[in-house]
Amino acid sequence: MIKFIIAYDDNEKEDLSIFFKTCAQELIARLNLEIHEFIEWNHTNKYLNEIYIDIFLNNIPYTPFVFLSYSHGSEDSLVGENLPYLSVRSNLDAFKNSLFYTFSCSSGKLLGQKLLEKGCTSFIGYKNDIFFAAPYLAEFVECSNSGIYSLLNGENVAVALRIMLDTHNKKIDELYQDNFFVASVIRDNRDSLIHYGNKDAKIDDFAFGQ
Amino acid sequence: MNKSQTNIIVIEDDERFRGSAVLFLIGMHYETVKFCLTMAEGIAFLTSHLDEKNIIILDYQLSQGEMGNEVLHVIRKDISKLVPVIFWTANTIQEIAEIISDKTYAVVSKTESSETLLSIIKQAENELNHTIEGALEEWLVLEKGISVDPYLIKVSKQELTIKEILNELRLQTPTGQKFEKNLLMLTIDLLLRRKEKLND
Amino acid sequence: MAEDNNSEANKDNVLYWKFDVSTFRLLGRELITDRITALFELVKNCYDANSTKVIIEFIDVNPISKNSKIIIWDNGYGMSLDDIKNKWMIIGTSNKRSSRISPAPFYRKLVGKKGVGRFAVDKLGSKLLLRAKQEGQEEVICLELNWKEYEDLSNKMDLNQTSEALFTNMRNVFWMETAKRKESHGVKLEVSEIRDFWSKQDIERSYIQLSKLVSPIELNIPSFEIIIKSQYDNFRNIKVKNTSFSNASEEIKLSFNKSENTQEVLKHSKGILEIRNMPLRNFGPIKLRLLYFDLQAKRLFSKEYQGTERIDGIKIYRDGIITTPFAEYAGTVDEQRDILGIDKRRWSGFFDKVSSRDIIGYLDITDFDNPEIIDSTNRQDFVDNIQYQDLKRFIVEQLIELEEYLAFKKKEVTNNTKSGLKNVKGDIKDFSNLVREIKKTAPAPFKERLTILEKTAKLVQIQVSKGIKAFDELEKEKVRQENLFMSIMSLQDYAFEIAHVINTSLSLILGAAEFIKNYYPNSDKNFEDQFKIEANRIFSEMTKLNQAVVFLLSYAQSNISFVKIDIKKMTENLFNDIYVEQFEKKGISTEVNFDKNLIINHNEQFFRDIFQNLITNSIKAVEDNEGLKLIKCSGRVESDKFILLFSDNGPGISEEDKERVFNIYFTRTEEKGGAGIGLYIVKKRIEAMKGSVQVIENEFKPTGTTIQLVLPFAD
Repeated sequence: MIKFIIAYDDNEKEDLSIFFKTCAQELIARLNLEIHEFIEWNHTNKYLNEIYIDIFLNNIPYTPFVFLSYSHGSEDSLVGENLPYLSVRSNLDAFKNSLFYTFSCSSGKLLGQKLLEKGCTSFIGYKNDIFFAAPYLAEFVECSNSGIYSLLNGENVAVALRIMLDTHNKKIDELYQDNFFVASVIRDNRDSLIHYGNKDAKIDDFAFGQ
Repeated sequence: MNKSQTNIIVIEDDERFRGSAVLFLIGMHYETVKFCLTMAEGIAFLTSHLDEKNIIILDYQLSQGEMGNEVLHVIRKDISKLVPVIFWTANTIQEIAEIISDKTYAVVSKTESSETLLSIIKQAENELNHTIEGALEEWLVLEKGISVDPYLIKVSKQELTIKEILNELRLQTPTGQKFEKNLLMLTIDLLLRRKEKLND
Repeated sequence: MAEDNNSEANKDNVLYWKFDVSTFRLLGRELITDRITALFELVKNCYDANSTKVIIEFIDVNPISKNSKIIIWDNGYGMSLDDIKNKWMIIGTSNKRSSRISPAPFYRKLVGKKGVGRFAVDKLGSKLLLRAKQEGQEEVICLELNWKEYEDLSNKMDLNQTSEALFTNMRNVFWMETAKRKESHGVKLEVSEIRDFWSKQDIERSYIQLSKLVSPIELNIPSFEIIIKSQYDNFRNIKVKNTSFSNASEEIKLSFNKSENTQEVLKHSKGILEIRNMPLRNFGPIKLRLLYFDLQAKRLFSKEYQGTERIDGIKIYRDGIITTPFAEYAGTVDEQRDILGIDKRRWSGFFDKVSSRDIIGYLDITDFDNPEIIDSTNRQDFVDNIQYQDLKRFIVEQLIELEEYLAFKKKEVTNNTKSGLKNVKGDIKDFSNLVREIKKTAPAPFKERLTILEKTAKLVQIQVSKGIKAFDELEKEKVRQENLFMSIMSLQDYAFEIAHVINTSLSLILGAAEFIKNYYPNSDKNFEDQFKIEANRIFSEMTKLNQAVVFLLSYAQSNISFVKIDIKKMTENLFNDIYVEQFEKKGISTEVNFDKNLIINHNEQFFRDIFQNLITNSIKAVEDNEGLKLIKCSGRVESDKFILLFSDNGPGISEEDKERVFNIYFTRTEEKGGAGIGLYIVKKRIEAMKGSVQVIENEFKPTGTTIQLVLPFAD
């Protein structure tokens, strides 16, 4: 039994909310197919705030788990509505032995490192600022979720990363002749991908109760 | 002959040059030769035609105390670093060259042959068409008409419309330069992954 | 406010001033900005104490160590314990308040006034051991001051804010020692914990500055010796001497007469520098001794003094002791401050002006006679009051007279040289004639020799002629240069103007010619029109260019002379004589109207150009008027300027043209044969006189033009 925590910023005032929401919901649809359990931390149900999350992490009833986030971020935190909801100051011990997967800018830099120090098994994220082009929603969603789908398919982290790169390349190749500008942005995002931790890990390693 | 659509903007306070032989000659090759007596006029025209290709011919000593290098500075600071500016002067070139601090395409003496000025303009035009920034600018201008805004969103909260992207590019800000670099990197990437080949 | 228990004057409710420890810093270091000033203050104190001898000893000052010391010893009248307690240790007062004169036997006028000289010691080092003895006393009083303690406490203070560290609460140890001789007297200041090392150069500079301490003019100072001792060669044990310079090329002495209330001043008149008597000025009577060094004198000077002395301008001495400031020696003399502003004047025309590198001057003032010349607190300048400004002006006036005298002499020399050369020419001719005469009757062997003589004489004659010619050329060249510099148009502006005007016209002409050359013939209508335009352009630009070149070159003539011009007269002459026929022929009425006149010094033709161009322009403007044709010129004087208005009732100048109308290319009267540079000339001429011109609201309505010229008065 694997527990998933999915954090996403669906605040409608956000231009990106459509993107975050789409990513999250596509994933949820997939999880539903495979009868996995998950909880959602999103803006609408007010769970995307630091205090709630801190309390939750301090009393987390199950570890390990798989954590995914689709929101804004910075080098040391994940951010919603301009406030960090998870940062290097949070109780990151809770992430021991877990998988951390995020689509937010730059968190690879400090947050990722800190998580690893605290025992997180694997971190997949981005080390720099990433751009997303509004008219090409579908392409970006596909790129961003390609990794977790591959893990759900039973591949290990190494392969999942490979597949993420390949997906980015595929999109570049599809787009560049019509819109080289967006293709160049996807290329930039691709090269910003970063992983820390155990490359052999598979999704079952994060089953609750181990 | 087919005249080029690049606008030649001449900022020159001496009325005698309006309709002079040299401008007549340039007019034979360029559809629009706009004669502006003041800095304000020149800048107004440039700003309202920024999405077209422009080359500026700038006199060094304008009246009312305006000096060419001030005009250049304003253009470079607030409008675009990508527009070629050619200084055209009755003073010695040496003096002018020492005073200019912003990017200039060339400094031409007014006593030079008209053919010389024309050929320098053509050179500038050629280069305009063949830079990464130029290409990107052109593409963005086209895209501007079609797409919705905002166009690009940074997943740390910065949103950019095409117009804003164009501005970043023209003023050569770090973000603007990043987009240029992206373009180059894409090209290299495509070549390396053998999606494209260099022409033989 | 007063409480009930304060109904009577209650002595307990009184507050006292206290001084924070950092006061000492204020009084000492920040008032006296450099080490040499500090030394000066201390030596002045010695002087005031009737010393005849002061010894300044530098011990182990390079490199500095625990043993480094500076000792200042004098043989003045010393101090008693009471003096120390109630005068020396009391801040801010001058214990010379009661008397401005030192006691018997010298009755010196006191020079150390502000009473903070004692803090100058802090500038030299942070520990002071003071020993003082009066004549007849058995004991020497010793006092130890450690500024470092004050400093440490002051630093601690900044952090802790306790109320303990008051300057006035500091404890300074004193004790008595038995003197060797009862009759000895004086003060010895032993400064240790020296702040900075003293190089040989520093000592040398101190020497040089101290030598200027005493004016060489004042002869009635009883002996006052300053001796310097140090570890350096030449300064091991040397007496400071104020050099009296005797090899100047000109020497001037000015004094005053108190009973007649007159001051001697310089006046140049036809090659003679006279001394005249004028009433005393507001700064009081002064003595001035000026030494001027021409090139040759300068050479002799540097040969004799070899860098130990310098020609460095005018110094002011009060009561025989120097007062003008001196910077802690900056690398070069150039950085010593020219507080009298002598060198600044050079920038307004540097031919024939004297600088502080050409003269040595001693200006003597006294506290009694010149009380309004006051040192500023930091001792680097004087208080800038009216009297001091006037004193500066006075000095400059004397320098101007000297300069005029020197210029005259120079001219005389030039003329003499010229006539000398011409004489030589005559002499050679006489010589040649003589030789020829002798040749006639000389025997054969001599004839050959004499022929050689003749040839040589001829050669010399040719050279002399060349020399005269070269001399003339040089002179003309010099005049031409001087004219250019003499506030007409700065050389840069001139060059710029030429380049711009000529290049612009040239480029248009070249462009036109090139076009015709490359494209003619061409039946295309556009081209045909353009050929016509370009042909016209060549013609009009050539004309303009010609006029412009003539105008610009007018500044390069060598005979630009300045005369006194009566503006009113000149205007009337132009209106009533020169142009009157044209006015009558065209039916133009004129008016000339000056409430006051202005007489200026300038080149007559240049000035006339202004009026002629204005008149010509106005004639062109009004001649086609249907009704009245009016041209008016009026002038008035305001407090600091002269304003001239030139009006006509022609069609006027449009708003947008008001500025451009003065540009060289502007013309609206081309059809009437105007090449258009008239107003350009007006503008350039008037600006060269530091005036201005602009189009203002027209006097005549409904249409007309009024041009306003403003000439500021020179300051």
